[in-house]
Amino acid sequence: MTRGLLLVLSLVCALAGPASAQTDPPPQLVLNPKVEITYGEPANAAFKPIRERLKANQALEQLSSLLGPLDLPAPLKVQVVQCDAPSRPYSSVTGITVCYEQIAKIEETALKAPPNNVATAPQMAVAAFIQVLLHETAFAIIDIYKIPVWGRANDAADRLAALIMLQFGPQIALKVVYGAVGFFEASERTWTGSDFASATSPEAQRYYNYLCMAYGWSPDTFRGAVAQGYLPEQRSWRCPNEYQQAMTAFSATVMPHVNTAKLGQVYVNIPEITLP
Amino acid sequence: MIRLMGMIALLGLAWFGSPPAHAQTTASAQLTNEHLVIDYVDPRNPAYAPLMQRLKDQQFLERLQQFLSPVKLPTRLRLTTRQCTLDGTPNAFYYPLDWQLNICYEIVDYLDKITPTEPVNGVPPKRVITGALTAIVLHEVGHALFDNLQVPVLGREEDAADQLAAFLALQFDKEVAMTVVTGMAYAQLALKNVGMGVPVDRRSFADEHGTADQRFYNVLCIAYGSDPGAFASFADPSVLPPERAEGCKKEYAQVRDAFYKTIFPAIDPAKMALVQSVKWLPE
Repeated sequence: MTRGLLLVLSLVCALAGPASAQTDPPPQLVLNPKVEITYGEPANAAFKPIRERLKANQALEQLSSLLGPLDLPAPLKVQVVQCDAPSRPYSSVTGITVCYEQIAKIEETALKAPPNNVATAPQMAVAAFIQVLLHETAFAIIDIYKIPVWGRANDAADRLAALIMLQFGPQIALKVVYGAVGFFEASERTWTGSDFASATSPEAQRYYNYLCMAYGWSPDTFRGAVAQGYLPEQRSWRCPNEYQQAMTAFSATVMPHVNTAKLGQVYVNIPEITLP
Repeated sequence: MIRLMGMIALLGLAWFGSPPAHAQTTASAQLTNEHLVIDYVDPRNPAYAPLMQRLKDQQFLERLQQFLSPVKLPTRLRLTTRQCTLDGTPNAFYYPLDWQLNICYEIVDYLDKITPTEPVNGVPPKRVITGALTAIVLHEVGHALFDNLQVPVLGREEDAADQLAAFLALQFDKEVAMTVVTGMAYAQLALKNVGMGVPVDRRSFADEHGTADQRFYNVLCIAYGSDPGAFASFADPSVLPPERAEGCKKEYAQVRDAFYKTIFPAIDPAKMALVQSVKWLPE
């Protein structure tokens, strides 16, 4: 799975950057035959370049490879389409969907982020896409394997996504986590009154949840999160327990469905990117 | 579900009134669990002494002990009432390092002081407070069970403990369920009124707990999702926004599924049957 995440990074970087930025020949991907991928033809011409970049960089093929170690009991659709909506949550019918609208919005928000953000704009764009992809993938995993979920479902999906982000070494973890939380910070709006009735947590809560998982995974790697004041000390004390709790739950509920013999079949590549 | 109802009926005994004498005798004799230890800890502040005595007279911890007795605990769990702070901060907490569930005199005292003057959701004022205390205890029971039974918790544990508290309460008859759910929601609003659980700046969101508003909506949503007919008033747009209400049945189903997969296997069926055989709630 470690190399799998790197593959997702590769996928996202390929998505965000021009196809020509990847000079190495495309990897020979080992796909999951149960994953059915679709690059939807967008009606909005503005999204066509996004689709072409995705296809050129085998974005969904790489996600299929990432899911390779999972023993899927039935076909799983994974698609990038024009949704005519900001996003489309996972469902057992439509599968995992990332909307062209989401990708465009991610890039727009990242580019408008204030300069004092915890991450650069390209880093945010890459990591936000990873976060969305892993968040939706988490919902798919929870649904497919009927995994019991305590806590709010969206937070559980975030913790599962964070866990995956953190399994691939310090460099990847730093880049992706700071990028993802930087994007949450850049996306923040003011929550009042009945806004709090939402089943989704405020961006600031998600910011701290991801940082806490990361700090809990490795206080040494993420010591800067506390030192720089991104994560309050009072929260940080219990983060190792939070991480351990999520990891224990992952091991108990998800790992039984992972074919560990296939973990080594995932290709790893992280190209540098620039935003359009 | 029937066996669960029995267990919850026992909880009803614990928190909502005295049981028939024969039932109490039968249950207290057989609903024991060697892993459950209780302790009323003397308060340092003498002002809390009458409160401790009241809890003793009500057999507060003995009843909680009975309620939890069907749970097959791998380790000892100590149930205590105690003074927790010097400044009177209301609290209750589970301490995992020594498997100890603490109900602070401060929280009981605080709940006494915020008794509403009017019924809430048709629940009489004093019962609202009984419901609030029950919800708080059940929340801590949630932490204790997650820890003791090594329950896989993928989401945020504080929300999970609220979910378990609400779920357990909702297995009562509707009057009892409404009492606990109302008490739980009322407690959040009361805490909000004194500035607890209210985000004052961005860093407030770093708290492991949801905001008071989030916790208020969460419990109402689970209740509505459990029985949209019985809790129809919660779906009024002035209470639960329609976009949240429409997903509440699914939220309740998620909690029920998690309960049956992760906690129910640790319930002793023989003790559950005993609980089933007794009519616990007063007429």
